[in-house]
Amino acid sequence: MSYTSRMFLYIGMLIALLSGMMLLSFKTATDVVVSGSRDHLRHAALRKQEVLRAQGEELLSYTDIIVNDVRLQEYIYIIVELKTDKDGLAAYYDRQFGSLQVDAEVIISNKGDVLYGNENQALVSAVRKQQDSHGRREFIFRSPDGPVMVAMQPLVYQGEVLATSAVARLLGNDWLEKQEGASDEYLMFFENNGHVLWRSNPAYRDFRIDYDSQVISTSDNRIFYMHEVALPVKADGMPRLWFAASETRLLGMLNRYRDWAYIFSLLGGLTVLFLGWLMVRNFRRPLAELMDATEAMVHGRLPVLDRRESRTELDLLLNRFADVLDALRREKAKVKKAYRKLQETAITDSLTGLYNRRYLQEITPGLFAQVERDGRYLTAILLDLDYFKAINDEHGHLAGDAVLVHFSRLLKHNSRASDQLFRIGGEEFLVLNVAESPDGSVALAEKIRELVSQSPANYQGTQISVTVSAGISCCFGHSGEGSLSRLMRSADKALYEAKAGGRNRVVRHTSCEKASDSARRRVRNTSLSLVKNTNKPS
Amino acid sequence: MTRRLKKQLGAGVVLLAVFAMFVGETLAAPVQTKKVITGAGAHFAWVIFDSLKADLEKVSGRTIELHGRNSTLGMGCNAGIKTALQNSPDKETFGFVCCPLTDKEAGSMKLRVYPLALEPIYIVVNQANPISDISAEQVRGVMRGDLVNWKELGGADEPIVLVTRLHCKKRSGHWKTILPDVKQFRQQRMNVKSAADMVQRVSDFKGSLGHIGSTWTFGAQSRLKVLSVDGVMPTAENLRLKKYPFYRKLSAVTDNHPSKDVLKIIHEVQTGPAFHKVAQKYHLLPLQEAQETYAP
Repeated sequence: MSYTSRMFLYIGMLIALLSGMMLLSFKTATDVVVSGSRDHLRHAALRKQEVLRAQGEELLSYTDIIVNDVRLQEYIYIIVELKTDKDGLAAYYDRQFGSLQVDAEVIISNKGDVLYGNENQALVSAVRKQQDSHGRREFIFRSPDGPVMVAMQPLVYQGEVLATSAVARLLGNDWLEKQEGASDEYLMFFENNGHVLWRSNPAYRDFRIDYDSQVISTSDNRIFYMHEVALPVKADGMPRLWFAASETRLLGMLNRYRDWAYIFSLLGGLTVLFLGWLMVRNFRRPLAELMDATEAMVHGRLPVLDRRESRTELDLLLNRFADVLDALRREKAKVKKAYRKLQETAITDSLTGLYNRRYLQEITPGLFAQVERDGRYLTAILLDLDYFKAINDEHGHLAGDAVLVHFSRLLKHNSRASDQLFRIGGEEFLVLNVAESPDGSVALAEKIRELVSQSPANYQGTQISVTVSAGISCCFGHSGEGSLSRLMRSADKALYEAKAGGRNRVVRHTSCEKASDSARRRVRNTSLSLVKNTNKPS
Repeated sequence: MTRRLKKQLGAGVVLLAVFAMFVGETLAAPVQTKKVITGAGAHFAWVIFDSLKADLEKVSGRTIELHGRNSTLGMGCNAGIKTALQNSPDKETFGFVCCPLTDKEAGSMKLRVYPLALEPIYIVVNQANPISDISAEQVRGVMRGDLVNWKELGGADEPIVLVTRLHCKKRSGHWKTILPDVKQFRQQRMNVKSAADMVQRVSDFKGSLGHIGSTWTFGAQSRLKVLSVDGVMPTAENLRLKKYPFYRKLSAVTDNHPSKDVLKIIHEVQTGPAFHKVAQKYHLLPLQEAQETYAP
């Protein structure tokens, strides 16, 4: 798998991981929020419970005010003792306690007569039932309009209990609405066996109550979590009071957060993907160049890499690699030069600089192939310095070497470009030439012989005269019989004849005579064909 | 700390001390009360002084400050006596009471008593009560508890609710013209602390019967009416003729060293012509006529 594929795979895994973490965080946050909301609801319900208890205390404090009013005590005393009219009591009571925040008030004498509040018959009945137990207390009873919270207390005058004062607050729709202000977010309601009897918000009527999860849903599919609010006093057959808080808004808010989380995940992922793509691209380009360079090196090339100005690790590596390639190129040039020098050393004679016998063996097949392919003549001039041993003996080997160098220089300077010059023995030299006619080689041999005889070698101021004998052999390309040994044997035979003939002379082998004749014929034939061709138009 | 800083701090402390002294003296300086004479006491006498206030200030050349309306803020006979005893050259005061002080009480407290007028005591019932006249003996019978139902007085079959205000128990006069001793009053009664309560109780109970001085101004919401006693209405004339049996003496009181201006004020009330208009309005019998009628 390429690094690009891996990079995309890693980025994809990173995006998946990030998305998973965000979703997990969202789920955890949802659980925490819902749990917190439940706690909040429980605390809110406890606060409602405390409010209810405080209202009960408030009612009791009202009864404290009422029963401890001395004038009221006198009024009641007079009414009870004198059995006079009760209008005065009503007038006084209304004047004195009319501002108390209660829904109903009664004063009932010990004998059960209603001294005040006769219109509140439900309350009168309830208080009469409770009147047997004296003392400051509160209780709740159920009325058609809702539960009624009552505080009652005996009224004592001069040590005698004359009556019972009771004040009541109706916990019906109005009271519930006052507690929550017809809020859409919170509800308070009394419920009995799944039936909602009184509610804080009249807009909500049809509730579906799930007691197990303590959730209610309204007809418009709003969800409320609910918690029971304990009434300050227990009463048989009393409906249960619930406080409920809407979670729709909260869940809606959480869903919006979730959507934003998705969007951020997507945007974040795309951003990471884009950045990853940029990184891969920046990472891949120098790598690709390195790979191309190494591929070229595998094939024996040392490419030139452009150096980069940026300072990333890969660019630095690439620049370093370019340095390595430059160094390799320099080393390669040195090796090549050394190889050439070595190769040259292997095929040349170190003293004269002419080719040696090994090179002769190397190039001979090529020359013969060329001669055979082109139908030309290969001429071999075998040269041998005369009485060279005597020179060594007389002047020393160094002087002999100087003579050899002198001769080689003459040979080089006077040979043709197509001539191949060899030193094949101590004082034996060979000149090979491929040409249309061997006559040129014969002329060259004669020229060399003459130059050598006329120009003595100089060794440490001593002029050493020397001569050279030459044998020439030829080989025609189409004969198919050419070989180096035969050519050399023929040249050697001619050289022997030159030596035998007195030295300082050039002897042609018969093969050369035949070759010369053949060449001349070919030339003549060619000339004639040219003449014929010239006459043809006429 | 540099010498310069020490000097600055020292100067600051001195300035602060001077400022504190100035402010302290300003705050501690007595309020200029030289031109003000303060009078306080029972509502029933307060009505007289308050009605004559402009005349009294003119006569005395002093500003008069009066307390006692509706006997609120702790006002009453005892407050009048207490105010009178607070008299000093810097703060001239006098008091007024609705009950006659005995010589013993006045002597022991070093008070001077200046009788002003006799005030009839109304016998009041609820407006719903058909009774309009009652005899003095019937009043006393009701007060004693001998009569407990209006039908015994020719009225409806309605229990009598007795409302009393038995104040100034150690002094003579006032309610004692009805029954001389508290113990003689019916136990099953409503004993109120103020005249306002009296009016309220009588207004509240249809079968009620109470008593109150004639200078009390009944409010519009009060539902009571004044009964004639033995066919005699509680007027100054009937007091002068000794036909109306229930009354009390309104007086002013000072310490033993009243200022001339205070005496001028009291004397003007006792003898001035303006007082007669007030007396006529509230059915008060002025001092001189009272002395002639009720001289010992």
